[in-house]
Amino acid sequence: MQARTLITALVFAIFLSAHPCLAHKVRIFAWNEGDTIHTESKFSGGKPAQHATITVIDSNTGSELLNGETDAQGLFQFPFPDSDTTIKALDIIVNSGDGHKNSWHFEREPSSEKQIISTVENSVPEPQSLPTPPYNEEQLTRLMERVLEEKLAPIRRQLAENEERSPGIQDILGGVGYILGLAGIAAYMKSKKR
Amino acid sequence: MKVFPQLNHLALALVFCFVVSAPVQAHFGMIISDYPIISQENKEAALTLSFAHPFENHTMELVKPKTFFVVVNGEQQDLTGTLKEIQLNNHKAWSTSFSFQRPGVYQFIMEPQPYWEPSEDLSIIHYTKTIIPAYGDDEGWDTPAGLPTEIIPLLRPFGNYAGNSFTGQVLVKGIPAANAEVEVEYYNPANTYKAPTDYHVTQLVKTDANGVFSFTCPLAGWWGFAALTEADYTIKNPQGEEKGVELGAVLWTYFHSIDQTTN
Repeated sequence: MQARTLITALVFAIFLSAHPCLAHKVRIFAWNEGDTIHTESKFSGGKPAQHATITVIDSNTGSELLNGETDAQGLFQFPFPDSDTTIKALDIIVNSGDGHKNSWHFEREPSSEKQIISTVENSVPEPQSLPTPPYNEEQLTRLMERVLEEKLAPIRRQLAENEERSPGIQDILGGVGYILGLAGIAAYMKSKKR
Repeated sequence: MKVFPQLNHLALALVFCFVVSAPVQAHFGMIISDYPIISQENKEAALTLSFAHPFENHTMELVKPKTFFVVVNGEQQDLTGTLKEIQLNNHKAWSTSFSFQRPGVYQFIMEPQPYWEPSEDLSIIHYTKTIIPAYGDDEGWDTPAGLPTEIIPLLRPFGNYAGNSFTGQVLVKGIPAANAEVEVEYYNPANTYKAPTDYHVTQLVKTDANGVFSFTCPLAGWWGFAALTEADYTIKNPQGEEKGVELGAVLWTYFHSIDQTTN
């Protein structure tokens, strides 16, 4: 009986001490559904960070707005602090103890509207209706990006073409091959004369 | 006896002419992301799909892929419709921008249309895979996507340094492919590096009895692995003749230099 208890205790001790392994980095991800902000905290390897402390701070002022604890699935949710309209962004910090800490920066305005113009040749955008003045900052930024992109497109294309035209390793090796080959033929002719 | 030295000279000349100038090039399907790892600082990535000789930065025409999709957390999302035609080194390639909504390990997969290569007298189909992790998730990178042929990474295919060794297993129809040739090329988009010989342009490693291969990648950047096998079927070339098919299981993985602090 006693031996069994001892073994059980040992097994527990091993498991418990192994659980918050130093190699397991904690990470947090946050998203919103309506006015509720959901957070999910996990260790690397996928185990949920249970009963970890969540602290929410105002990114601008650094002041703490609220705190809480994750559940058994590593989840924690809270309503966006709407009372204060000056709050534009939050830093949501997870602390699972043992020096494991990480944070997620949450902005009130979804940044997914930003269009990434990434390609060389695809850079002439389709005409779209201009927003009417006065422009807001975002519209103006987008407009400027578009105009710049239009102006830069031919230059970029030229750059790409120049890059294409420079001799590659294959051209060089080919050239060397021809030189050596011709030299070889010359040597052959010479030896034939002899 | 007198004829021999002359013949030798001629042979030498011919050897130099043909061997030195012969282009030993390997084809690679490519999916390259401008961010190999997604974090909260960059939630979107521009993905470029092409068909190329990556080391020599030589691009071929890639007609619109048959399918392009992403698998994450067991779910598959078709992205073929989001592809936009672009020009890469004056050849047709495809690009899309992908916004990562949730943590996960995203497997981007392209199945191209067969590419007819007259100089090799066969068609080429490269099933191409690039694995991008987002927001700290690190599970699912070794889950097979169920392709006709694919490389399953045994080294986690992200968060590696130049000088780490990549290990992978080649599957054909889900079964490990023993003794298969895996071509290896470094993506050299700015022609930063010069290969000392043609052998160095495309390196080669073979799989063992379990279909496993290992290769140490000495440079920071994208490395492509193309495990080549012959299909057990033929398809028609543009002239309507039945020809063999080279199947490629291609995987692209990024190695960081150790001094970089971000992506």
